[in-house]
Amino acid sequence: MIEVFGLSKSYGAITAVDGLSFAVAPGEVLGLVGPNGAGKTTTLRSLCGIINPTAGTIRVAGHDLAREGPKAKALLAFVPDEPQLFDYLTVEEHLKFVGRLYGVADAPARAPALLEELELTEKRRALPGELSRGMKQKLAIACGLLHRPRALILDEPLTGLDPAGIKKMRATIAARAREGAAVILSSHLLNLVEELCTRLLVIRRGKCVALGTLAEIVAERPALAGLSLEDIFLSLTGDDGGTA
Amino acid sequence: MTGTAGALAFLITRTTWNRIARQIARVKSPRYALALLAGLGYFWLVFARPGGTSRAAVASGFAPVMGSLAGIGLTVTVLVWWLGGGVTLALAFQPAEVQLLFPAPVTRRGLIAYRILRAQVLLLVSCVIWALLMRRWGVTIGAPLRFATAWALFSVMSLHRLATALVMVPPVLGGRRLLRWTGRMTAVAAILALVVGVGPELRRFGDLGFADGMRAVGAALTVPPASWALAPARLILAPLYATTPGAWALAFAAVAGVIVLHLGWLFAMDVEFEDVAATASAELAKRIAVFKSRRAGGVAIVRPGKVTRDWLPLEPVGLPAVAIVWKNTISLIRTGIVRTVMILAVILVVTSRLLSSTADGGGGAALALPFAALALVIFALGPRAVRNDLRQDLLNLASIKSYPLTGAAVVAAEMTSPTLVLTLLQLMMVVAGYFTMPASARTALGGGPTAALVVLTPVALLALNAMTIGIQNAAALIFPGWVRLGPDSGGIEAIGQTLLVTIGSMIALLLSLIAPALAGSVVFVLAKPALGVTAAAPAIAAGLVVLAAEIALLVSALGRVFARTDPTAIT
Repeated sequence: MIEVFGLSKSYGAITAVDGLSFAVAPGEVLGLVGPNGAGKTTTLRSLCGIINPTAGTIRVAGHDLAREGPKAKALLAFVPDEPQLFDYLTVEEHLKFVGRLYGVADAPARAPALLEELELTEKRRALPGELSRGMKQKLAIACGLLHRPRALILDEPLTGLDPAGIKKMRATIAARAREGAAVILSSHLLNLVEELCTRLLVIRRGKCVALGTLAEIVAERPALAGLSLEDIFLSLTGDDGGTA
Repeated sequence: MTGTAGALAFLITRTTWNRIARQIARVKSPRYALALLAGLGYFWLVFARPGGTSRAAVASGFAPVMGSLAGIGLTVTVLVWWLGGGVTLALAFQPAEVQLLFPAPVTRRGLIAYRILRAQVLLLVSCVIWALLMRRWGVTIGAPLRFATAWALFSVMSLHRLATALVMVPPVLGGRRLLRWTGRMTAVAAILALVVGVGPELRRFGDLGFADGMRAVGAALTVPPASWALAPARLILAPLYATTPGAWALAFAAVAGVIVLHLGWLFAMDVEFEDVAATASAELAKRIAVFKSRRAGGVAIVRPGKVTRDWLPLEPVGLPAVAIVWKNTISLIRTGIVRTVMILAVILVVTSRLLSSTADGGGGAALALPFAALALVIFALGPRAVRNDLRQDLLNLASIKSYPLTGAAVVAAEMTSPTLVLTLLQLMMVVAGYFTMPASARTALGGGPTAALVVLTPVALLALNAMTIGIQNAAALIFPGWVRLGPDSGGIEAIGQTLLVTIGSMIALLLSLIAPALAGSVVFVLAKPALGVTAAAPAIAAGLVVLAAEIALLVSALGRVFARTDPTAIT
């Protein structure tokens, strides 16, 4: 569903992402992990067409993002870590807007269910200024899910959510994957990554240091055997990491 | 200096110095340096140029008038503090101050002292501007004395507001209760004195006429009982009227005494103001956000609970870019611009009806001139005022770039809403102007030209507005640092920046009209032998076709720029 070949992004002399290649199949949840500044957000933003890669190719369901942007983007949804909402649109108007953008014919029927699922029904006529940080995040998630994306890209999606919201969001992500969506999930919450992700992509300084299931990663690095995911992460991404 | 006092002093000095240093650092950038020069030039033209100096103002007797007005203004302001609500906003601190200072081991008097000193920093800066303004209003004392006068005047007002706010902090008990009662009774007495003193003159105002009426009111303000109400204001304004350094020193000493008395009053009170201050701080932060948002884009933050009815439908299927036009139009509805248009329409209709009913006696086509002038004003200033396009949305660029639309589709959709709104406004002016003309003038136009005008005017306005909006959006997209996209720090360089962008946009518009004008001229010359003056119609049409082609090229080019713009480049 999502295929990435040699993705690089540079800002002047700084290389934020350096030659990443990976693929995410339908129903798969890829966990993108790495320390702060590793290039996770840059990678995710490149995958959504928000920023243009310096080099490399990104394909979504066979559509080249650079050449067939609108076709590829129509299949994608991106939920950023910091929700960007329009101050003057209410909650339900955000969904109406997104419904038209993505041509969701059953949006009027689907939106109420989505609002109910994300516990936003009571706030459907509220403006973003009246919402808490967690509710804003839920609205951004609802906007992302409305058009039943075949590729779901989530950057720290649980930021600001309460425990009940986190539990519900975990279930939502898992359900979308079961329905056949390819999911890329970036998070510092390693227990979430361990629970939801079928494979891991660990990056450090823009480069891939590990890619595969947890078992595959450990199998390639016997020194990591028996360690917790947290220790494995620290070992892979520490200054002496990436070589373990 | 104790630890706490030292920390507070450090906070004030470092904050001030960091702000100055940041401004200086910005000037190292050629963009800001140029903008600063333009801003200073504007500032000089408005406040400090040699023309319109104090002598002329004194000769015209303007200074006493301004003095009286200032006295009334100050008095009314103080009356509102004592009798109206909302004065507790004077206790507002900045959010970071509430978070860090309120839980810190700082006494209430320490916090009040900090609040006073911090206010002084802003006050000193504004006094420079006021000292310049006073010169233009005919105050004859020297610049340093004008500065000192402004400082004393605003210090008294600032301290009095703070003291009033502390008096009003609930629960008002004991000595503060007596103070509040005394203050309110004094305020009521002042109002009565003003009403009794000036009321008779106001009743005679209609008979006396404006000039004599104003003189009579002015005279009434200088004698009891009205002069009693204005006495405190006159005391603190007295240095303004001093003509010699000695007289000024005496008047200033009196005001300094008032300042000392206020400081004593403030530090004598020990009020538990934290709760009220925290609430006031949150309210002030909200107001500042609304103000900055309005200044940034002409689009205010919509206040909660003020969402208008959902009357603009949007079908879930159809051209996706229409969603952006819908969203931007909702923005206009929510922020009151549509309401303003509707009010304007009603005023115009009523005015045109009134004018047309009196036009039979003469006036002819000239009656339409005010409407034409208004349409021109909208054309010139409208694109800067109506900003529900990329200038508003670039701050959400990351989100918009993820939409399944081409760059050109986004740009075209963003330009549509403001273009339509401005065109609608101008058409209203044209229609109102047309129907304001007497029937004889309308008939004189003839059927053919009228039909051509009906067809060409909307198209021409649409094309011209699309080009002006396109230029504004191009400036925002290509030079995001030059166009205000969101709240900024303001300052002189911001004024200069706005001036430069306005001039640049006008030059770009003129350049864009060269090719359409040439095309129109060629068609006119070729068609005139056959059509006479009516050749103007095909000439205008040809010009519009060329203009439309230019707009299409602009949208296409901007679409490519949009596609490659990195959200991180937008600041």
